[in-house]
Amino acid sequence: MHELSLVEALLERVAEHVPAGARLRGVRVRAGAARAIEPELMQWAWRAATAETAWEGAELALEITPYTLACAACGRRVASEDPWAGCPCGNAAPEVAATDELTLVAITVEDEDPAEAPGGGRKEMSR
Amino acid sequence: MSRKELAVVENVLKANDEVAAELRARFREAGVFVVDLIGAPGCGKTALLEATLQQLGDALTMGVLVGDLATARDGERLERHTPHVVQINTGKSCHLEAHQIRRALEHVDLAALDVLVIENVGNLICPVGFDVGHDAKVGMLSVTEGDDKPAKHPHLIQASTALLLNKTDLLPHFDFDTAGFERDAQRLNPGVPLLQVAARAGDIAPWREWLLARRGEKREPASAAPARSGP
Repeated sequence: MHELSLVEALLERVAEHVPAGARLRGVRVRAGAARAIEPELMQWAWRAATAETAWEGAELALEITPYTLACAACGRRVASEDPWAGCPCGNAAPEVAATDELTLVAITVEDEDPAEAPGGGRKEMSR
Repeated sequence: MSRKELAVVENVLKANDEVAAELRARFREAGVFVVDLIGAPGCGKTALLEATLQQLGDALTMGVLVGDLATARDGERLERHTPHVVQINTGKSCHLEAHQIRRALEHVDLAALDVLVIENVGNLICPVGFDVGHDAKVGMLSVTEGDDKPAKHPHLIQASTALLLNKTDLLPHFDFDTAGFERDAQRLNPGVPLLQVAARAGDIAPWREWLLARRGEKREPASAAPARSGP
């Protein structure tokens, strides 16, 4: 369950980029397949961590960059979610590569309604 | 209300990686070779380190940071062989992060060490993605876990500088395909050394030699190899 730790780190990053007076509506994150992130768990962790904070309801858009299968037999480079998928040419053992990047790509914000009290989006988490 | 997207493009683990870089600089300064040892509960991490301390005690001074959710049992086992042990209890956390290592180092005399092993929390998944300032991540699997573990845990295999296969003395009793295990590992990480050991039997020569060689490389700054999974 490293997803909760990753979300905690993500909240720290996001907090540095939300402009004063703006309301967070979404975050875009890109992760390499080598990160071994389970998208459902990541979404669950994100909702749990933002619940009952000023960021509740902000959406997490998570893009997982797949594995790259590089075939020595035919020269193809194929993107695949399954590291053990063979090459379409029939070679069962192409080279398997993946990145371990974990990038906060962008945040979506909205000007906050002045009637609403501003507040940080962070809350203490236990893990 | 106006909605807009702001580009950021920043490493989510920036805070951890900054601390890890600071640790790496301290380790380099002290000339300590640092291994992040990752393996499942019961694969023999502590047994391997006990055997290592027994056999290499005269050749080098090794310290161990032991990560566990609870208890000081592993730390106590290792303290019989070296005074340089710090037990880190992580509570509910499934892996160690750089700030926990920094805190543990307050109790370690780095200048006295040649090698520091960070025995990560028993887990094949979560510890893989966190930089702790190590020179090498070493993935540890064992015969009793089955020969399909490289296939099922590609992330660990790809992040490992070397792989340990423990409990090879039990091979005659298990239906374990060593060639298939190695084939899967090599496909994911071509050239990765596979060190076959039987820690409880004290048969750890490949690991011992690998450790001494890598420690030697770190001592000579000109040939210091960069960490595979470093920043």
